Amino acid sequence: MQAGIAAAPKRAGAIAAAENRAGWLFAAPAALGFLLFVLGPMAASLWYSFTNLTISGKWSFIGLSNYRNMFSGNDIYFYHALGVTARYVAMSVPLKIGYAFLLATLLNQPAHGKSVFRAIFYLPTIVPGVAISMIWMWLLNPDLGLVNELLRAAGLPTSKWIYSKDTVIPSLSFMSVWTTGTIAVVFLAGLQDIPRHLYEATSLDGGGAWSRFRHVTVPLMTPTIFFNLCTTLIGSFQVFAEAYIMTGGGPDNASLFYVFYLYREAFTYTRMGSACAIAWVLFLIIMAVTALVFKTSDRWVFYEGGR
Amino acid sequence: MKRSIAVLLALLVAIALVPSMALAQEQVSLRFAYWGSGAEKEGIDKAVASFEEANPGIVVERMHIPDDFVTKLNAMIAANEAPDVSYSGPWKIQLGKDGLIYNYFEIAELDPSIAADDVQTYSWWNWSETESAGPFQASVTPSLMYNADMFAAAGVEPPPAKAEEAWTYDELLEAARKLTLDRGGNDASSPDFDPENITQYGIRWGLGWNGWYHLVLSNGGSYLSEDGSRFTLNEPEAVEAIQKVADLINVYHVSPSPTQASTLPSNSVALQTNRVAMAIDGSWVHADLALTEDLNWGVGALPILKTYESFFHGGSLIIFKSTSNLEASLKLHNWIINPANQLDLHRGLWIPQLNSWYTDPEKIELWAKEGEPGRPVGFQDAVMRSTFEHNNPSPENNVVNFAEIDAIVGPALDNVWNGTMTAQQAMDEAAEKVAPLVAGWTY
Amino acid sequence: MVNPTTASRVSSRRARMAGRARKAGWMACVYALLAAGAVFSLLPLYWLVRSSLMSMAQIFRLPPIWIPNPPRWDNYVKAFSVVPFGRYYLNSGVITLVVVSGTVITSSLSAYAFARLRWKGRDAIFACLIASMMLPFAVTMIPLFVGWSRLGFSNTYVPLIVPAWFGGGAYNIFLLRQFYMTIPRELDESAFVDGAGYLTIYARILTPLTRPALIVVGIFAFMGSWNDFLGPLIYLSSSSKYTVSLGLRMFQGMYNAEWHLMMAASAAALLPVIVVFFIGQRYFIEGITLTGIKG
Repeated sequence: MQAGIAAAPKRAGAIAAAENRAGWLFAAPAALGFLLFVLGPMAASLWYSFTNLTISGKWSFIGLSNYRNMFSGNDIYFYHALGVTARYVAMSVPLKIGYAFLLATLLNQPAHGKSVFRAIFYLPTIVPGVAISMIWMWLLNPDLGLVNELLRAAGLPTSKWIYSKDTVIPSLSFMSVWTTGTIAVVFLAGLQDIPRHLYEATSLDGGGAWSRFRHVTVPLMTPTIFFNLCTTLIGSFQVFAEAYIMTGGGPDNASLFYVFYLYREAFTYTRMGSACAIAWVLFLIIMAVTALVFKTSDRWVFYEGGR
Repeated sequence: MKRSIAVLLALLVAIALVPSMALAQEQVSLRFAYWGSGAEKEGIDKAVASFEEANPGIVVERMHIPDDFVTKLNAMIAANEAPDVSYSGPWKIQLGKDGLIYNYFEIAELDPSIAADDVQTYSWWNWSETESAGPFQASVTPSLMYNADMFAAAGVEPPPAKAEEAWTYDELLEAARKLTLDRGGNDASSPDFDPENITQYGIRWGLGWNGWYHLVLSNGGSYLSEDGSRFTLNEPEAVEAIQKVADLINVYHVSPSPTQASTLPSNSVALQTNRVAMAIDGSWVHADLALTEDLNWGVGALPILKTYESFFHGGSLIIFKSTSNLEASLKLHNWIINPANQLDLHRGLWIPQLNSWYTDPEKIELWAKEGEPGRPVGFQDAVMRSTFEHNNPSPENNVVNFAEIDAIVGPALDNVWNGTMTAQQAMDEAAEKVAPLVAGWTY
Repeated sequence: MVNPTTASRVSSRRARMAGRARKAGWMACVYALLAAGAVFSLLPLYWLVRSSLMSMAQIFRLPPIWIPNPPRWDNYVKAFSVVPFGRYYLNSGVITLVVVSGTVITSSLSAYAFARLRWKGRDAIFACLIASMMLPFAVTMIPLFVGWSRLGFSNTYVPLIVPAWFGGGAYNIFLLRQFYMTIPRELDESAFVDGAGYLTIYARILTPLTRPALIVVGIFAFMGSWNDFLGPLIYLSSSSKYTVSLGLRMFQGMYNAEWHLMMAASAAALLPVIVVFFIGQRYFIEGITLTGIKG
């Protein structure tokens, strides 16, 4: 009797220990990966940012010099690249989210062939970045590109698109809308999760389609909008390949995105220490912007069942 | 199953053994990094093969890096896998200062096959008075190339070959206007000319520094002040010259803007397909033109504003201190930079950097004989003599911190070519930004 | 005299008809917008294919020709002969294959541990992983580059494939964990009572049930690896080791205004992802949905 009572927790304890061991073992790749490819490099990056490490491996500790160099304007590209990126984020994020939301709303209507449309809208998202850049360089070519040709046919004014300092960022933002499929699919999932009965309730109250949209769809979609907003913001701050391939950062550095600037610092000028400082500033900016979004989220994100 | 595992193991062992067997033969193996597409790659491949033939103990692994060369090279340096010998651009100066490459002045005596006093005065890439990344591996120069049939069709006399008879800018402009056609067949001097629909351009002018700098020199302008203390591309002589190039695009519509140029193929193809009648570009294009079928091309003296001025420029072959065999590396270096070994390359892609090859008639005959595919009639006047006799130092290896300064000047000029800024505005803005980088001349 | 009930029936029918008309109008509007969206998505791709089948002279003609006649398949032959794209396909294929298998295997193992097993530190590590999704790659890029280079793995595929074998990325682990949570726990508990070990439960019970999710992860890994540009750009220096993306970029450098060839090369680079997309389309829209709502 007594032995039995003592044995049960013991066996449970043995099971728990085995499970603990197994858990660690199974998660080992991920845990090690986190340590080796995230945490370790993060620490190293922070450390490098206080040194003048170059590609040859020589370095010495220089304190905050790298940061001072950036913020004091000694490095003429820092504020510039930041401004370029901010403009891109400010333009592309609302465009992408708005267009994706529109697509998702359309896909949520009782129309025929929805799965075909869904596949079509998603298709551009899978195109390799280099190919996307090539396609759009050709479409946006001011002299022979399809876009200007269509505008001309419609009697509208044409543009120099990525070849002019003033239009390059709007052009790249517009182009980013093309690959908004992932966001649209996430929105669609959110829309399909909204319980039918809520819509019916508004209908009974005499609300029309607009009021249903305004009072049911939008509030219930705010968590999804919030999610998409955060991920799109983080992604847009790190845009690189498009500028690298399409414009080389030009004309006159008008599309020198932040990560491009960082890449150049690290791999062309081989100033690894300074590049790490640039990376950390980006990280802090992204954190700050995301935190800001989080902070305002109390006011506009609606969680079902309250909080 | 078991057998396949055995086979696999045997294979792995074999793969592992191959390199060690290669080592056993006591061969020197070098790694050589270079860039260039088409004709250049082929030429270098041949040059290296001939080197290997002449030096049976040395094997050269060729690393062809067609784009982002400096990035790739940096990656190799970081991995302690720098090649032994490499092509290089202006960034080599930093490598020199970082102590990663040999000072050529110190090692030159190990292999005296190149007489240092034969090397042209301005052909050295030095990072200090006593330290050098070597002489040009070969030279190139800005060159005016044209499609003779297009001139004949338009009834225009092609550009003269002799420097003394060189076209003035205005003469060039006049010819270019007659050679620029819109979709309706009107030329640019006609009142009906439609600049929105140009099908044939009179001239494509290279918009990199090596495209416009000779015109700046011709107008008495310069990159820096004589004492090297100031950036002077914003002074009247230089500004006027730069503006004149931009005017061909934005005022006279005889030359494509960077935007329009994005729909033009490379110069050799553009000349061949009647898209442009003239091109001012590096002389390396001669190699492509030599291979272009159905093209009757010629070379002319460069257009001038006041005096005839030109320059040679070129990269140098750097030798990394990490090389396992300095002697063999230097041998490869000297083999490639000696025009006598690289006659094929010097009949199109390159021109020599050694004085004797411009003065000794026998040597001239070896590389500049007119009538060869890459050397049209008029070549000796238009390219060889006009450059040699009116030579200036190239800013690329003469302006200290050129790589950094050009990274500011080049983008600023985008605005001038686009017509959104005058040359004065753009260069004034640039002058402010480059001021902290200006550190004098090398020579 | 009109029967009041008839009157109300008539008016309600009228209302219903008006409602139906409004609905038909609305649906017409929906179809129109769907069609417009589809044109926006497809036209650039059509233009790519169209331009890839034309001669240089045709491509420069204005107003543009919409249908290449005759189609010049030659462009593809030319694009493949001037740059060794065959080689690049092989390189990309090898990298992608190793990355996909590493990702699927290690992310599912880890996800199993996070979803099903109780172990000390589980929640802390999971939180770390989720937080790492927010980390810009730029922060770790340089130390990783320096590290791999010092180890002598620059200009090899090692830096591109090894990380996939260490969990395969937080996003995939998260996705699979969500999926494992939807499978009733009783299944593995009863197997456990029957004496099955954790590995057996993972391999025999959960893996077959989560096949769709594993396919999703595999497809994501495929797309990510095949389309990766920055990784190969940084690590690969010899052109013989290039991937398709880098090859395409190199092609652009060499033939920058020969649009017909550039379009042919781009279309060829696109083909494998399109094929995978149409095979796995159904699965991965499910996959995005799964992470999206729970996020």
